[in-house]
Amino acid sequence: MMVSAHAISDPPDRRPLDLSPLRLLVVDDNRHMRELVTAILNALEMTRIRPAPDGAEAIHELRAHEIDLVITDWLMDPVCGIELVRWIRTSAESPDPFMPVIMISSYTTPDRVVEARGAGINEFLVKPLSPRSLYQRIANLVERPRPFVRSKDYFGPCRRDDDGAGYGGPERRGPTEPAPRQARRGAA
Amino acid sequence: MTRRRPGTRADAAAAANDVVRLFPPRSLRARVGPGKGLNPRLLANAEATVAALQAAYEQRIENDISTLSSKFDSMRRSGRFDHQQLYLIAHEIKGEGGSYDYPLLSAFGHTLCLLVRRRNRLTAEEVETIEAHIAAMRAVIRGQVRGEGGAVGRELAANLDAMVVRALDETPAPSHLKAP
Repeated sequence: MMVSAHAISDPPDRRPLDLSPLRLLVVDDNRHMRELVTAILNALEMTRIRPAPDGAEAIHELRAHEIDLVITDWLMDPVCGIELVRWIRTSAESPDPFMPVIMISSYTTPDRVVEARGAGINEFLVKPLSPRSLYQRIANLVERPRPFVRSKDYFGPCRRDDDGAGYGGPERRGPTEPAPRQARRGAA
Repeated sequence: MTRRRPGTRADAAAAANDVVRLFPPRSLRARVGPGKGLNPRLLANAEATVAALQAAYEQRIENDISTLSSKFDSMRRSGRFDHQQLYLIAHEIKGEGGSYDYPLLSAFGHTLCLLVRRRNRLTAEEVETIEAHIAAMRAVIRGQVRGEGGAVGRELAANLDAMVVRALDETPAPSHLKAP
């Protein structure tokens, strides 16, 4: 078994992140884009990757396999990336409504980003895809996970840039509590 | 974790709106273990991987454009227009151009998709517009016109946009260079 130089010389708290244990689902209807994303992830030593050519196939994969993180395109048929995220967040059949999701898209207009965030994505990545940006987004999900918010019309990661953790004033959004089982299934 | 004393006015408002903050029961940190920040060695690996794929992409996309051109010629000769075949190739071109620093190819692929989808017959103007797209794609890849291509690239994109608008009598998606 190969051991990296970091593993030998650095104490655990000073080593870079080792993302190799992550199990990923890469969803894109363009085969070459799936291959590009997979090649980048492999170079970053993430090799537990399942591909899916559209949202419908992704749902099948999520039901059949343990997945830690979804990386998805937006525009796909028959189930697009936004519909996939909504299914993950709100379907009673979703294996994990808290599943981290990174959306990759060429859409850059603010209304599109707002739409994606409204569906419940964790991170939005604009094409062209760069290894650094993808790596950084995954690291963000590990190092700075956002709390989730459940309201009558939204369930997903807190959409504030500052998630409010440092604010304790009277306008602070509602109480934080451990996730009840029912919130994980079919939440609003 | 509740950060305020319960029973305050804000609590009552939050309860009325039924807004609750939750922490995911599983964390990626638990799966990944200790460690902090990016690994520069792995990042360099990944950047070298993409650079190696770039050359392969340029060769492959040139082949795709040739396939698009020959299929379109064949359809014109036979008089049988198969929009699905052209759409699939245009969609592939659209999907990855930007990631290899060829956003113009993505933009041209996008407007070509708009033009050919759900069409089984073409007007002379539409034929001309498809030919213009193919010629523009060839020019971009042969000239290795990366990025938005400066003033020439913008003019080319605007001309194709205008041709598609005329052909479709509708406006294509929000911005030519921001195709999904």
